[in-house]
Amino acid sequence: MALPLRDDSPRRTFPWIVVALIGLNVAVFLLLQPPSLQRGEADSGSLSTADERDLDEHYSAWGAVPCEITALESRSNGAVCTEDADRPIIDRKPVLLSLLTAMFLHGSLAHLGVNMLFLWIFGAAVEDRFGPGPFLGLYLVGGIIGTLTFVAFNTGSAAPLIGASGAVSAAMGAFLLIGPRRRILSLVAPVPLIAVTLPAWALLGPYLVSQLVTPDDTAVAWQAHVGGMVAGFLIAIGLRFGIPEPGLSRRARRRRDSAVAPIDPADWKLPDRPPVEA
Amino acid sequence: MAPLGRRLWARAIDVALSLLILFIIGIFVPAPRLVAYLLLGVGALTAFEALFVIQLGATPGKLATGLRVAELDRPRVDQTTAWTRGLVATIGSLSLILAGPAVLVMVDSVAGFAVGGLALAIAGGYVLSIVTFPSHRGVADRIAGTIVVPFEAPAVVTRADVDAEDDRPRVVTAWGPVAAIESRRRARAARLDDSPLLVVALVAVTAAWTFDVMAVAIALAVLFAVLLVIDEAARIGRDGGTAGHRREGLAVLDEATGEAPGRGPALARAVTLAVFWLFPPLLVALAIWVQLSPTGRGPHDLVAGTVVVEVPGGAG
Repeated sequence: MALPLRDDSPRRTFPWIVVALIGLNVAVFLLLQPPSLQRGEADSGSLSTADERDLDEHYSAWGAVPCEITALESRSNGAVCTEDADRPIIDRKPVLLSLLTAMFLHGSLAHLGVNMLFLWIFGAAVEDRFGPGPFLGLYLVGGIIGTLTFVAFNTGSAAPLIGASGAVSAAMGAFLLIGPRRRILSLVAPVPLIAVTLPAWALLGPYLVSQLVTPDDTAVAWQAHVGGMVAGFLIAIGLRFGIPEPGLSRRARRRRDSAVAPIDPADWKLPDRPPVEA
Repeated sequence: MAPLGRRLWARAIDVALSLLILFIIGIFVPAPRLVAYLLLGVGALTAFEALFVIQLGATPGKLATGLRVAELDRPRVDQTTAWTRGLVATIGSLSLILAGPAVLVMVDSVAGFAVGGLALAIAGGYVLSIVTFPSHRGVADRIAGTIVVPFEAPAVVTRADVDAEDDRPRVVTAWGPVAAIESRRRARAARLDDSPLLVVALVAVTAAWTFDVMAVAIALAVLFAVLLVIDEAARIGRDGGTAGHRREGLAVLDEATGEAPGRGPALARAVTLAVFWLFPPLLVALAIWVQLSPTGRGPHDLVAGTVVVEVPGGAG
């Protein structure tokens, strides 16, 4: 398990879209989603019956329900679900819109926190490379493709999918294309050496692998993560053709080159005489 | 520079105004959304601190007691500086406001004990830092690079003036000045830059952790730790520093000879360090030890007889 803290990508502009998306996600979680989520009752399993029903209805109303998306109509209009059919049925649910709204809902503070951390680290660099408009497109389209990937694996299920993970994975996929060798200061959990800089591939590669081996019975929609990441990578390939790499100023490039230039140990001199009077 | 009594009165006035702001937010955010309330509170109080400092040079409490905030080496306070200072000061004074409720929460449950204890620790550390640090520059001032001075202080307060009041002289050895803790931390973060093998081992450890086979994950972590200690000892013993040290222009030298320490002492040093790495909270203790040590040397330096110095002119 590794948590990114900071990356060494060049920053030419402030990542407004990333900050706006983080603000939107946090505001939705704190102000619009049921308050039992931020009190941590849903995590510790101490929900009252009324709160639990409230939460289930909230997820079914605004989350992406696979069987509804497969049928392109809501369950109240006749979409039939074969799994988890006891989930609440919502009247007049806008099914296509739920593809979008599901991307802005989260299931717990930890879920929100981890997603926003990854969005800040990887999204900001991608926005800097492609510009705000294309990045917003990549985020939304990547997220929707991630959701559709999940739907394709669970066509009959009524269990709603929520979370920005698919869209954030799209940003991570794009980062893997634009800067696999950029270095990211990360906290690596169960090993010594508390914070080290690692190349991006060393963080994102194991992440992808870990998603592919996730067992099916967990609450993690790994299909959405993989779908989003692959989609982000492919969209970024397309964007790279359309948007040439913006030239860094000569000074910035020189500073970057000198920063990463490896030093030959043979040139590494120790002071040979005391530089000051002791 | 600014007398402590005036600082405390200024803070008292600001805390009273903050309570008013929190009360107004409470009207708009219903009671069950505690985290939303806290986050909005932090945002509003940060804006309150920052905007007053940007526009008028000080918060209302400081203006009332004849104090202002000055950024070191600058005629006026920069935007980023003001917001940074505002955020840290807000977290400090909000923990101060919450200190009372925190005590009540602490007797409630185990989780409450942890959360309340954290709030109390932040509040205590914040107050202690202002009272005890040189020039009464607390955590907020140190992070933002500012100082609170009376109105009549010179327009530009220079870092040299402030350092002159700071009574702790820089430690200098025969081989150069002892490295600052911040550059030593940065050197540590760039530790793996020229060790691709260790990066691969680290990737294996993180990947193994997700496969849910505890024994393999632990075995790999132990393997990584052993590799790291050997690599560290070899590099420091031979070159007098790792890739990170070179980047930061530092060198690890034998204190007596000024040469690279050699294999034996370097291994002792790496093993001592590994004890701290294995249990990360100990790293905080290590940092405090190095900071407080009159010679800038931690236990690992004492064991190996080494010292971390800045190489004159920088090494790279």
